[in-house]
Amino acid sequence: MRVLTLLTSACLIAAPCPGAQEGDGPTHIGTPAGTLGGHARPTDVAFSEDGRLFVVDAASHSLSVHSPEEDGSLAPRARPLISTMANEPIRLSGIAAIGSVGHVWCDAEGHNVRGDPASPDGILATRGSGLDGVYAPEGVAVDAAGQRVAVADTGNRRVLVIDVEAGRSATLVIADPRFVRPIDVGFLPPSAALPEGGLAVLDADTSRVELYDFTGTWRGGFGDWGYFPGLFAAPQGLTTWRDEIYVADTDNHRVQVFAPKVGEKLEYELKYAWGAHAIRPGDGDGLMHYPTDVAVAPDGSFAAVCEPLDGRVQLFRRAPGKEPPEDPLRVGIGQASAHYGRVADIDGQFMALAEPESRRVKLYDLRLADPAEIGITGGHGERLGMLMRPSGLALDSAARELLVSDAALRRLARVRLDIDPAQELRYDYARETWVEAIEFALLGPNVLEPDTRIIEPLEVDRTPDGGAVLVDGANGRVLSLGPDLLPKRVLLGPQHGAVTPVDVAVTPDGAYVWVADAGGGALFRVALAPPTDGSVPAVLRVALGAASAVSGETRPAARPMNLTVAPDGRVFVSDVLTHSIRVITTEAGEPREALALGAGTRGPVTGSRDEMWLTRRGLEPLWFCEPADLGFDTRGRLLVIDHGNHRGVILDAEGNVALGFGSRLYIEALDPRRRR
Amino acid sequence: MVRHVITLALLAVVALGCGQRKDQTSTQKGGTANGGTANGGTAQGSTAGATRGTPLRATSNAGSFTAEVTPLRAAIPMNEHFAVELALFRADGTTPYEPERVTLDARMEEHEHGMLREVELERIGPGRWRANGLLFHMVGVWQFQIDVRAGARIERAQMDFLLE
Repeated sequence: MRVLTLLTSACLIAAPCPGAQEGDGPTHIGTPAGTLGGHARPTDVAFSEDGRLFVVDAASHSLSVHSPEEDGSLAPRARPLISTMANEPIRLSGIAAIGSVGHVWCDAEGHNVRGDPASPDGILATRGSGLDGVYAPEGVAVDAAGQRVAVADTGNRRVLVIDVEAGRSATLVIADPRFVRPIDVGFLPPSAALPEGGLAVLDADTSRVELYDFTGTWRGGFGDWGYFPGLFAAPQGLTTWRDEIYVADTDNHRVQVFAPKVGEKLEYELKYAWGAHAIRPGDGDGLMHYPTDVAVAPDGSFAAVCEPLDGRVQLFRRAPGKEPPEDPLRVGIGQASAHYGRVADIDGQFMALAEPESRRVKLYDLRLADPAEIGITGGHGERLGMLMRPSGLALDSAARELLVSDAALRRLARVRLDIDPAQELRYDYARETWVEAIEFALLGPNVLEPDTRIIEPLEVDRTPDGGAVLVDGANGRVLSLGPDLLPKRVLLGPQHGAVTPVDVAVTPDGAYVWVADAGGGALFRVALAPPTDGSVPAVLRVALGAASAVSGETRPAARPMNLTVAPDGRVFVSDVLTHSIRVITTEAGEPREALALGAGTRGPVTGSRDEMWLTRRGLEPLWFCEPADLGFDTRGRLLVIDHGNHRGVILDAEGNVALGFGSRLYIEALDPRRRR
Repeated sequence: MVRHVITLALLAVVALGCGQRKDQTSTQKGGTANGGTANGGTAQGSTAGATRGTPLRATSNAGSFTAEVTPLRAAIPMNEHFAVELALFRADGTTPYEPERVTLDARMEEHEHGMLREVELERIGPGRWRANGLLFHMVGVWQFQIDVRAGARIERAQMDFLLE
């Protein structure tokens, strides 16, 4: 087993903390109590009844545990539990602990749920949509008796409850039309309003918590999208402790705690919240940065919050008072800042960029050294022209058109742009006109192939015939769309070995489309033209990082998330595992990895796979943190959205960093002249 | 989703203070409305005592239908409910068009908010609906947005109206 050796800080649970119901007055959780380091990209946490803290690491595909020490604090060094199994292309996505017995976890990329107390093979559910099937499960919970497992079956937009002793078939399926992206789940104890107990389900796209009894009947809910207290922004983690519901409110950089109102009606109200956005890169001590999950210790004395972008798990202990004291610096500020999302497209002199926090798409003119914002469109909502989860952009400057895909609404829209490279540089609120959209939900399932789910549109790119290529996230495939934006052909899918295709880029000559397969750690090159002789289209797979893999390592050595094709045919790939831009050449028709830009160098990626995510991220020139979309402008400059660093980076033709744009604190490291 | 719309509209109004963007240059956007795009607080061409305003007409943004919005009073008021008649025609501009679904809304794109109201459509004839419950709560450029669904496709027609 590989062990993460980069232990950065110790756990400092200062003293035994009182439980919630002890003492003379109300108490709350929220006082910083230390940081657990040594995790590369912790995404999910859970406590067992004996006080062990389980941590899922999405970078190393590992599961580790911090055990309590004699003084009641958690061991600072995590003990790895599972990592060798990760030789399969998996992405551990959720964890739940069962008393002192064991744990259950879900694997969003391998499409299964497994754990200790399950059947002999450890499998509770596998890929499918039946009673024993899941697709891209993101969250899991176990009831207090360790008898029932609830699964947020995200890809199937439903929740399953599995009785561990009864076998693998779900005893309850909740497929509520309210669900858009059910991402986590928790058990609620019996109460006057819920005599048998119930379930709380967190939906990341509707930003709501829905409540159910064990007949599957909806009994209420709370939340909405926004910043104000009680609202959420893309929340990703939920846990229950006694009758309280804790929500990791990811894009609001906080944890909110809800408690039931007294009475027979099931109603929850906000009790308190803690956390605020970090100001400087890496700020901790209670400041949060995209928390994705929260867990509460069995005695309620403290909580653990994981923040994957900062590679840490922060601990917060209980303190007197009904809520944390208000930070005077934050009063009235509202949301700290808007961040560049992962989705962008660059074409000619213009760039379109999605801003997830506002559900908007911004348009930039690139004629100057710094990108100049010239328009904005979108906003949170369901009507045409509004967005819930912008998931793909395809900008065609010559045609003055933008395609915008929205995974939550399952919609691909065409937007007409009033842009002209020779036009006077100015901002115009009326620059975008929403023309039309395809609603994939109205096409239903089984489009082009049997046994497929409703298309979930992700990244998209234009083809020379006026059509497009589109990643279908719900089925792990890439589709060819006609000029009417309706699906015409399957270009790539699981039958070709693709695991999790996430981005597409059409070559300048229009002959091929390159596909980034995040789960498989590879690229695919697919011919766009259908074979005239009826043969199977040629699909070429290019593994990334194979040469740098540690001996015996079979896990993917890269996680390509975005890609673009340079005018000269080279393929530039954003790899979020190694925080680098990997460059593929196609000389003599044979694609091979030529170099990688990142970690301050232009050379091959080296080092232990499990350490890459932690050691290769940074702020200085040629350092990135989870680089995202990228593209070339008219002048041949490479623009990279350096997502984890809240900035964009512009590189010249030689790969030198020419400029950064975005949050000042994150770009001054690139250019000292910008320091104040 | 009413909740979403109202919450967001309130957020937009409160948080943004309804501040106008810089560099605004035009009230025109998208479709080709006739009658000078009705850029007057009272629908142009109306006469004293008239019960209907001047129709606003626009070809849809992809060109497959034509929409016509006629205020059911001479002048669209500020901060009062009003109704309009919506008529849809096929691309020839004369044949009534009844799609699978149609919605009408109005927004201030410049200010990034809507009306804080849900509009109800009542069918009154072939390709004709009465839209009830509109309310413009401030002066400025409002945009009528008519979304039509045919199969899996939604297409928009839009027309601007300056409320003075």
